[in-house]
Formats: sequence, C-alpha cells, structure tokens
Amino acid sequence: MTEEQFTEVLSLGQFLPGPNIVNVSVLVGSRFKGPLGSVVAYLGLMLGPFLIAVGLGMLYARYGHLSLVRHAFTGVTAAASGLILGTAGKLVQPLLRRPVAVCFGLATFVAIALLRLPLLYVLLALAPFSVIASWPRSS
Amino acid sequence: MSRPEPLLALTTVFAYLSLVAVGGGVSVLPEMQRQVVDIYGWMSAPEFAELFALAQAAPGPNILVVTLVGWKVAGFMGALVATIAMCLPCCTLSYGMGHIWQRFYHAHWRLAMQLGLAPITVGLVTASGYLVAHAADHSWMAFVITAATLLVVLFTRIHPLWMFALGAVLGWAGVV
Repeated sequence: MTEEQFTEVLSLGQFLPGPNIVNVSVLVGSRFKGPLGSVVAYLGLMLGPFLIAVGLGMLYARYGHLSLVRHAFTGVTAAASGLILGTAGKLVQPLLRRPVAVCFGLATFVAIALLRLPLLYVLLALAPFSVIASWPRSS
Repeated sequence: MSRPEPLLALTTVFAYLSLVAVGGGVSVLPEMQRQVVDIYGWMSAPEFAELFALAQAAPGPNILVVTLVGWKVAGFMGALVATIAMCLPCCTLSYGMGHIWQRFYHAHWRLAMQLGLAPITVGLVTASGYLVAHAADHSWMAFVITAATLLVVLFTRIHPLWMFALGAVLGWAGVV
C-alpha cells in the first residue's frame, strides 16, 4: 500500500463513524483479500487485546477493591484524563485557523460536557450547520 | 449464568454508539458514560473512568473499554456481545464504503463533511477528557497529574504510559 493510499484509508476511517483503527483494519483487509481480509485484519487487531481485556476485567473484579489498587487508580485515572485532553489538544491545532470551526467545537463541548445533552441530538443540531459552513467555495 | 436482558441492552447501547461515534472511539465516550452510568446505572462515573484508564493502559485500541463494561455487566458473554455490537455496525459500513469511496472522494460534499465534522470531533474529545477528569480528579494533586500528562502529550515524545505509571506511584504514596 502506498503512503497516499494509506492516508486515504486513514481519512476514510476517521470520516466514518466508529473507532478509527477498527475501521482502518477492515478497510486495509478488504483491499488485500476482500471480506476474509477484513475479518482477519479485524481479528489480528482485536483478538489478543480482547482476551487481555477480559483477563483485566477478571482481575479488576477480584482485586479492584483492595486499597492498594484503589490508591493506584486515583493517580492513573488522572493521567488518563490528561491523555484524552492532550489528544484533543493535538486535534485542535489545525482548526484554530478557522473561527467558525472553533465556534462549533466550543458549542459541542458545552452541549456535551456541561449541558450533558444526548449525543444524537447534539449531532443532529450542529453537524449539518458545521458541514454547510465548511462547504468548499471553489472546485 | 447471566439473564438475557443485560445482553440485549448491551447490544442496543453499543450498536447505537458504534454508529454515532463521529471521529472515533474517544468521541463517543461522553455518550457511553451517559448510557452506562446515567441511563442504565451499570456503574458509577468514577468506576467508568477507571475502566477507561484500564483500557487505555492495556495493549490494543482504547475502545476495548466496551469489553470491560460488558464484562462488568454480564461476564464473558457481556464482554463478547458488547465488543461485537460496538464494532460490527461501523465495520460493515466501512467495508461497504471502502469500495465506493473513490467515487465521491473529490465531491464537494465529502470535503465539506470532513471539514465540518472535524471541530465537532474535537469538541467531543475535549468533552471526553473533561468528563473523565471530573469523575476521577478529586484533589489538587490529581489535577496536577492531569495537567502534567496533557503537557507531556502535547509537547514531548515521552510515552504517555509513563505518566500512568507515575500516577500509580503517586497514588500508592497516598498523595493523590
């Protein structure tokens, strides 16, 4: 796969709903071996981690209440939120050039984080206008 | 043996989330929390934050948080059902679109949608971070760790898991 093809696949994976890397695995798999390729790529990505997650779930259920674990989690969850915010910070940079984009980003943040509105309604209310506002003016 | 009702609920919730996850898995975290904590009451917000932190720390995509939620709700079947429900709808859509993508790649509406959804995605991811911090950070030290991790991610190439380790150590030390 060329760099350009991969960039296309990555952008399609982000464009479509769902976890990006999951979409990308299906797309890449389908390019090489059709539906079977997609399944294999998906399992390659997810199967091992899924089993690990199940194992972690078991451990958490059994030992999660121990004070040692509780204490550790107070710090780990703090780092986890920082990681998400850092990801957001990286994503926001190209958008800062577009004031309209900043407005829609802020509106989304307020609606979801502060007002705790259902996502579906927020998307239906904001997405169409954001898309129209982003319509390219030249061909 | 788990009753069928939780499995049906898990399927419904995560199939829905699969299709509204605009921009990726992290985008839908606030809505996932709203469903899992507020609507279904399967766990508290702090516990949901912990499961997400586990999913981030563990190898593989962060979306595996759904596996952990499914496990908590209904054991292995719950974990399996939640994971499949979260992935099957979007994967099917991706597979279908993969072939016709070429046709509309150069269309104005495609570019408009991509540019239009980008700020919404960023708003969602920021909301996500805010909500996890809100559920998890209960001391100034916690906020310091959050801020430090944010800076490390933005300005350094240090692997974020080191911050998780630092957080765990500080947590054990009882200062968080």
